[in-house]
Order: sequence, then C-alpha cells, then structure tokens
Amino acid sequence: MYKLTRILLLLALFALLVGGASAQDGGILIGTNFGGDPTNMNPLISNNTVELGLNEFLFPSLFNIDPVTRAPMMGGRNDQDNGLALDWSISDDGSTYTFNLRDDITWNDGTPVTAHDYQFTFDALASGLTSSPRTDVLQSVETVEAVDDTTIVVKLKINSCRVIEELDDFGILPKHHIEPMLDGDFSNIDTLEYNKNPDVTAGVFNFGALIADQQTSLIRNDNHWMPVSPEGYIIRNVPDQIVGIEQFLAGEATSVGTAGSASVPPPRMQEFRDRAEAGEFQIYEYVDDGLTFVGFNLADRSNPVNGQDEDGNAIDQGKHPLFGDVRVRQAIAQAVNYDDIIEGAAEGEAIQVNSFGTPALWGYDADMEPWPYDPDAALALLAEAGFVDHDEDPSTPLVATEDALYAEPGSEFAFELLTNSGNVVREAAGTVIQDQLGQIGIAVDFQTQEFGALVQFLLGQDFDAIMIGFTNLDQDTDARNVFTPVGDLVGGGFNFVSYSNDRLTELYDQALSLPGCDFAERQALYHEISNILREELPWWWLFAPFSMYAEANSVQNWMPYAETRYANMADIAISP
Amino acid sequence: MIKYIIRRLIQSIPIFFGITILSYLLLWLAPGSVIERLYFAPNIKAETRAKLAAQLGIDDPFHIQYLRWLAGDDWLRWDSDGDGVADGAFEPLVALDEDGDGIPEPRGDNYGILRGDFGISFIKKQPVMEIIMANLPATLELGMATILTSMVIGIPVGVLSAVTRGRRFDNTARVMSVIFDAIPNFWLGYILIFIFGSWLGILPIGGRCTPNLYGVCPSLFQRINYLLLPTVVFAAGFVALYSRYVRTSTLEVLNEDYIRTARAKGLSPQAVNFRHAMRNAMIPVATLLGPIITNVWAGALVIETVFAWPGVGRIAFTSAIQQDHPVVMGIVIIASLGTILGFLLSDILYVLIDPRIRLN
Repeated sequence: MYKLTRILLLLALFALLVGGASAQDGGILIGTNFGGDPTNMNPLISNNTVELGLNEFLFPSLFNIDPVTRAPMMGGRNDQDNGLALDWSISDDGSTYTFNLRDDITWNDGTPVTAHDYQFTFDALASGLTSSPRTDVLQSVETVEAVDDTTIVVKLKINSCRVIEELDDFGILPKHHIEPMLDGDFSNIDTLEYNKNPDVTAGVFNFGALIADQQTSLIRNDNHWMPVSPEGYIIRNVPDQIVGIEQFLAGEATSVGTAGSASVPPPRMQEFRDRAEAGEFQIYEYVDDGLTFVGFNLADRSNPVNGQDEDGNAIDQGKHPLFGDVRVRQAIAQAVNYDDIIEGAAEGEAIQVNSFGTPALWGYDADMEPWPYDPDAALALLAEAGFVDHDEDPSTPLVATEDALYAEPGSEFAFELLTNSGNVVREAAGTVIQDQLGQIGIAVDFQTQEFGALVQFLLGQDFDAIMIGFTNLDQDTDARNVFTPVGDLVGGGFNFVSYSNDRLTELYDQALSLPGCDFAERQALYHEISNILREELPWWWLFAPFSMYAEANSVQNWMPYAETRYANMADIAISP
Repeated sequence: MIKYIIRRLIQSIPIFFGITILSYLLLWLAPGSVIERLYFAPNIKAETRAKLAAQLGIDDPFHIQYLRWLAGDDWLRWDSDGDGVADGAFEPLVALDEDGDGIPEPRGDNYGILRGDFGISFIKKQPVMEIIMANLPATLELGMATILTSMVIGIPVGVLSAVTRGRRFDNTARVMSVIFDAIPNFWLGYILIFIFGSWLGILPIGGRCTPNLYGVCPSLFQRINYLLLPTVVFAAGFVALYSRYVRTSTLEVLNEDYIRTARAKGLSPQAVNFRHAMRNAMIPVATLLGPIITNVWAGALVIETVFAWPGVGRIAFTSAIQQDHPVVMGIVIIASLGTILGFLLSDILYVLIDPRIRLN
C-alpha cells in the first residue's frame, strides 16, 4: 500500500513537472461539443447544431431573429446583428415581397455584403445541384432578384405566410469569393475547400482552425463594425458527455455544450441547479422546442401503401385493428399516469404536452387541458369501442367483441411498442407505459431497436406504435408533412401514422396562405389545429424536455435565450 | 525467408478480399442509412432525402456499390467527348439514364481502392485517406506509448514473478494481473479522470493538446501530460497480458538443463535470470506482437472515445454510428492490412530470435 501511494505521488509529481491542466487563455470562450466535428460550415449545406451554432457568428442572414419570439424581425437589436433586412413590403396581391437591405455590412476582406450575395446563395439552392436540405423555400418562391445592391425582390409561386422564415433558412455566401471557384457549376459547392475553411465571412468572429476530432476555433473579427470583447471561441470535440461535463467543472471549458446546444443531461440538472445556487457557475433553463411522443399506426401495417396517388386521390390503406378507432387512442391517453412518466423516466425534467409542439412555440395552444389519468374512464371507453375484460381477470388482455370496429372478434388487445435503444428516458417511459397499460388489460410488447432499424420500421410504416422524439420544431407548429396525406409516403414520408383529416388539411392551407398573414389570425388557426390533434391523438403526446445551459462565472454579462446561448456577444466580457 | 514472406503475402490476397466483401455486406445489411442519420426531421421532405441518397449512390444495389468502392465507377459511365455529360455506360450493370428522365446520370469519377482511391466521406465530404491520415499519428502515438509501457512494465514483472514464484511479489503480481485484465478500460478511464483531472486537478481531462485559437499542437514532450492517462489505462490490460505470458514462459525456461548448468557454474542469480532465462523466455513473447497490434487497434475505439483522443479509433466509432461507409471501409482495410502484417512480423521475429526455427 505504501509503495502504491509512493507510485501515485510520483505520478502526480511527474504530471506537475510536465505541465498542469490545460490553461484557459483569458478572454476565450470554450465550449464542449459531444457530436462530430463541424465539417461543413457552408451555411447552405451545414446541418447539425454545432455547424448552425458557428454559422451564427460567421455569416450574415436576411433577417435578425427576435430571441424571445424567435421570429424574423426588421432591423437589428444592436450593431452586432448580421441581418440584412431593414424593412420589407408586400404587394397587394401578396405575390411579391420587396426587401430593403442595410449597406454597412462588409465581408472580412472589405467587400460589402449586398443583395447580389443573397441572390447568388438562393440561386445555388434553387439549382438543385447542391446537397442542401433547405428546399422548403422552393415550394413557395419562384424567383429572387437583386434589383440593386440593397434591394431584393422575391416573387412567389404560391402565397405563403411562411416565406419570411423560409427565406431566412440559410446564411448568405460571399458571391465574389465563391463564384470563381465553381467553374459555372453549382454542384461544386458541396466539395469546396471553403466549406471546411470559410476564410471570407462577415460575422463578429473569423474562422480560426479546425483540428480534426479535437477543436474548432473562431477568432475575433477586429474589423467588424462592432468588435466583441472575447478574443475567440473554441469548441472542443469531446465525444463522451461525462468527460465533457468534467472538463467544465474542472474549469477546462467555459460552457457545457456549444452556442447551439444546451447539453446538461437531465440526471444532472438538479446537481447543476444546486451548484449554480451555491455560486459555482451560471445556468439558464428553458423548455425545449421538441417533444417525445408515441406514434400510433392508424393503417393496416400488413399492407403499407401511400396516403394518396399522384393525382391526390385518397388510397384505401385499411385500418389498424386497434388504433384505427379514435376511442382506443383516447382510452390509452387516459390509462397512463403522466406524472410517473415525467418523474420516473424523465427525472422530472420535462413537462407534459397535449398536442404537436411545446409551450415554447407560438403555434401551440398552451391553454389546452391535458388528458386526465383516469383508468376507469379508459376501461369504459374501451368497452364502448368493443374491448372487454371477458374473464374478469385484469392480468389477462382485453378481448375484442363484435362491437370492435376493426379488430377480429375474440382477438386480444395486444400491440408492439418500439423505441430506439440507448435512450434511457424513452426506455424507462416505455417500461412505465407497458406496466400501466398492463394493469387495465392491454398487453404491450415493448422492444428497443437500434436507431437505423427503428427508422426503417417507422418510414416503412411497419409498426403498431413507436416512441420517438423530434426537436427544432417550427415556431408556427406547421406540420403538414406530418399530419396530411402529402407526407403519407411509404419509405420516406413523415406522416408515418397515416393520419388524415380534411378539416386539418384545410386549416393548414388557410394558415399558410392567409391574406395579409396577420399573426393573431394565423395563431388562432394553428391553435385550432392543436386542439384537433389533441382530441384525435394520431400521436400520443407525452412530454417536452427541459434544457439547461451552464456557463462559467468568468463569462460576465451573459444573457442567454432558448434561441441562442450568446444573444449578446457584444456585451460579454470574460474575466481571467 | 523471402520465399516464405512472398507466399504469405500471396495467401493474404484472398483473405483480404474476403474481409472486404464481408465488411461491405455487413454495412449494407445494417438498417437505415446516413441519410436518416443526418436528415431525419419532419421539415425535410422525402424527395429531398431521396435526392441526397441518389447523390451518394447508396440507393444502388449491393453489387454496384461494392464494385464502385472496389474498382471505381469511371468505367461504369464515362464521358468520351469531354463535355462533362456521360455518353456511354457499361450496359450489363448500369444504364446511361437509370431513372428514365431523359438526362444521363453523372459520369463516374471514382477509381476504387484497387487504384488507391478510398472514396469520399459521406459526412465530411473529404477524401477518406485524408481523414484517416489526419488521425493516424494520434493513434500511432498512443499505440506505441501503450505497447512500450506494457513491455517495459510487463516483462520485468513477469520475470520477477517467475523467479519469486509463490512468494509475496508473485502472488501480488498475479492478483493485479487478473484485476487489470478484468477492469473495463472505459471504467478505469473514468476513475482516473475523476481522480487526477477533477479531484486533484493535475492532469488534463481528455484531448491531445491544450485548446488554442490557432489550432497549434506542440511537440509530444510539451503535451505529454495529455498522453499519460490514456496510456496508463490502455496499457493496464497489456501489462497484465505480458506479465502472465512472460511468467509462464520464464518458469518453463528455469527448469531447463542449461539453467541448472549455469547455476552450477556459479553464475549470479541476476546473470542466470536475466542473461540466460529471460532471453530464452522472450521467444514465445515475440508471437504476442501480432495479436497486440490488433488489440491496440480495436481498443483504441474505446480509449480514444473516453479520452477524446483524436485518433483513428474515434473516427471508426463515429463513422460506424453515422453509417459513413467509405470511412468505415477505409479503416477496415487499414486494420486488416495491419493485422495481416502484424502476424507476419511475429512469425519473422520468431525466426530471428530462435535460430532453431525455420520457416518453410
């Protein structure tokens, strides 16, 4: 034991001699990224949260985003903002938008950022030759034309109230720098060296360096019209979240996560609250813009077919023997105690949601009543739907009677619930669901699948019920790809539950093309959609998780929002 | 010897091809694809995902994908007049206009691994070889430090264990050997990170260099503190392996007649143990090199992930998760070659150390 202690002491002494823990340079923000490297920082193509977080500090965009409402806005909050649009006007028929842009933003090589840069970026997207996933805008926009350096005219194919958000879905590329590298072929955009080393940018930081699987750095742009205080921003690539959190606690990083991600895991949130209260560091909590749900397959899983043909005519998809009946879905929604799921599975770090979206999104009606936990009401509803306890033994499954709409009489009430393996919250929630539904005679075969396999079942529409989650939902909660027949495509569509409701489709269309796009009127329409989805339960709404930013005390004047960790980079100062 | 090496290398060719077919097949059979990994979101339309899949060629049948990876696709569709549009196709396998939209599919521009082209990463859009070579030095650094440490500690411990057989040192060494062999690497890694990084604060928690704005990574000596913990954790199992092997081998040698003779001649115990016994006991240990190289390669996956060490194991792990097939296959190829050559090296070392052995 004495020898072992000596060896440990020698080891410690050696470590001290060769250098202590990594020193943090004064004035540098250091974040920890638990995903892969930000390998593609081209704002047209970049797709993951780290890349999008970096884009925020490197590239100009058409609009500034209001950090509270997350909506595009005219002008900027302060001189640091990179949004070009000062104001805009809409033609009387709603088919043409004219944007006036500011003229005082320059790329870091001194060239002004102009309307031509925006048109060039849009043209690249519209060419269809890039691997950009941001193609939604092409559904509604016909052309984008730079009339002069500070004016853009956008002509629409269809009136769309989402066009402002869609036009802001990508950062702007420097035309004068990129165009000569393309040889007239937009398909070359995907493989530009610029994507890994964006040397011409226009943000508060310039791109520094990327060391594969180690770190990415941004360096203060001293030529920016409003230079910020931090010398730079380093994102360390740490694949293991436990290790990343230890780096933060040991002072090797100034934040857990990056600009675009929170990353304090639910099991450690209470510890972080306690330690923040004790003054060790700062935290900021918010409700995430994503939700976890169970999708019910409403169609016959033995013969998955699309929701409509090429002419838009409905195709008979058959009915799922259990979930084809809305009463069954409503009964299930009342048979499980949500508190047990939230407290037991989500560690209490989530809130119950009652429809598509979360209270963080303006399209979501936060006044909706949740489904109550009422197993007796659930059993009564199931009896009405033709499923009864034939042997008065609650431990055996209910059995379908002649009254069941789609189930074979005599068949047991049993279904398969799938989720992705490795997600401990969903695995625990599945166990709670299996247990509590079992108590009223619903046999749940709960299985976990590797994510790729789960996606194959999901998109192939070959499942009974799947528990999964989506994040980064749109503010207006528009989900026509998810709940209308347009998205009901076997193998690729996101209406994988095969839900269809004419009124809902009509409401989505109205909210999208409302003349004048009045916010309150649109919100009312989306709230009506929220209530229909709450009632009809094509998805069984479970919860929206909390998110938590953690930031070192050395980062002063820190003012985060759910939208971004550093909304006020211009005010941030870092103490040594 | 030369003939033997050539014969072994020739024998390796079918093994190598077998490995590539099996590996590619396993990747192909895995459910899902890189498209679902990257673009699984309701606001990305099915057509967009289908287009992205076609761009990567992952919607092609298995034999086309494998052939493209192995032998390239510049012979599948070509552009003979140089106008940038494909005008010919190897019809038995592909059509010029596969989707029948009246527009020829793009000409092939991959040469395949047989011609040294490992392809482009689906995720990083970067040549696979470039990605691997960027991370290879880190893995070699960690691997060599690990093998060196395990030999420097494991061999003397094994010899001392043998010569002190049944005594306190031997018993302690054997117990420790079992413990270090049984402890999972990642667990030991976490424990040491907590002790030396979080608690004592004397060693950095993961990484290979101190974070800095200009991406500069100094020479090894200036950042050896970053290498310390991963090496100790990685070497723990190999120390146990070496010490056990050497102990057994030394015990066998100690019972040989020539050792008795050496003792009878009046040589000191140190001379007997280290000059006569240890040299002969090393012969079977040489055969360990091949398996250890393979194990280092495989173990790097875990160690590099826990310690945020930017090596090939890290990219193997993330690429497999993200289903970035070209990168995974590139690493499989290099790992296969490393294993084949490692075992060959073991056999050659065996001959060099023990003159009684002849390869034929």
